[in-house]
Amino acid sequence: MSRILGFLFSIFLLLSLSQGCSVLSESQLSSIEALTIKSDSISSAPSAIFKSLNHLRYRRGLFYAASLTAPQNRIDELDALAKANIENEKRAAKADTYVNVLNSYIRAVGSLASDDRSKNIGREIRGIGNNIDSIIISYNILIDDNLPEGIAKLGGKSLGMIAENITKGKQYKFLKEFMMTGDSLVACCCDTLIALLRSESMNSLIENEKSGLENNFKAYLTEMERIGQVPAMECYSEYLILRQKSLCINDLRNASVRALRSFKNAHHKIVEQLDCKQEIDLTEDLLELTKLIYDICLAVKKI
Amino acid sequence: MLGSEENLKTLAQIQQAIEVVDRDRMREELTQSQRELLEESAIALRDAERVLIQKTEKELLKQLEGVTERLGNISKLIREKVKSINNIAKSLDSIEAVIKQIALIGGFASKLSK
Repeated sequence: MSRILGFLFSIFLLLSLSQGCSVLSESQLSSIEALTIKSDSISSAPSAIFKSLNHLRYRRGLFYAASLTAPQNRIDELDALAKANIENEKRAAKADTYVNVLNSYIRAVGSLASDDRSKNIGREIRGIGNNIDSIIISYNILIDDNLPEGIAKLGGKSLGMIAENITKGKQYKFLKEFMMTGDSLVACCCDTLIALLRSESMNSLIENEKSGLENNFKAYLTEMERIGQVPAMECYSEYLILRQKSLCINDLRNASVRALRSFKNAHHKIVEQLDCKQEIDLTEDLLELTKLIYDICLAVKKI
Repeated sequence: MLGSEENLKTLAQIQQAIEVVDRDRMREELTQSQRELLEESAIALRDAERVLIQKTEKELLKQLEGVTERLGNISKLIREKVKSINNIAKSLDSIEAVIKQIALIGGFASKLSK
């Protein structure tokens, strides 16, 4: 019996030593977890801008249709508005799909890093050990034999720990491999999104909605005045809401740009940490990211 | 540069043109048919505005397409790895269930034999 125990202990020691130096540390795990939670808000921001622009376009179009006098012209404008709205919504959904890829990648990384992966395997093996021990106890009672009891339980515990350690090592290896490959792509994805948000085209689209809203509402008011009607108060409050939304799009754009930059840096630091096996303090980076995400959430609520 | 510079210039020009047509079609001295004609011009300009906006947004989204596709492929590979790790736990779970049943039967049999 002592031989079996010695053998099991040797295996345990050897495997633990071979894997122990390359497993995920608590801080690495919590950094990855924090990044996973935060990616949701960051990736939702660019499509929120597209959706808000679409909403503004649609609502100002209604003001414009109301400024037309001929019924056929009104119908034509409303038809065109409806058609464009369907297309715009499709595009906003497409923006969601593209941007969600970043989110999906981070979620996959979070899932791979999860502590449950290794703990489940360890628990199952410990369970097997316990159950085999129960069989031995029953066998001894049934056959009146004297098979050593408790070894399977101990073996299960040891093997469970080994399996947990091996799985943690594998998780570390896969994570390092994938995150190192993904790092340049995450950087590229974030840079492309930043370039898109700061582009002249995006600027032009936002400015076009701001001036378009003002012009379309002015056309509506002028027409009302010309035909001697007083616009309803709801029209003014609708205009005010839309105006505030159009002004807040820039805030969301700026907050998104800052958050994407911070997200890219945090991802890179985690990769560095995995690569060097050194503890790099990410607290400040993650705190900054949290603050930026708070700004995004505030801006999203306003648009 | 993202998007065509010419498109953006045209978009700004269309906005200005709509403003001018709007001012004209609101003039008191116009007859209804003249007003309707100007409204038709305004609608045509609004259509052109929508087309240009669509074009600009499409160009912007196209920039994202290539980058996100590669990142999407990595996500798929990661999920496959997660699945393979989970499969080990699942197989162990099945083995544990079988052994548990045997242990239960053994325990029951030993109780009966007493």
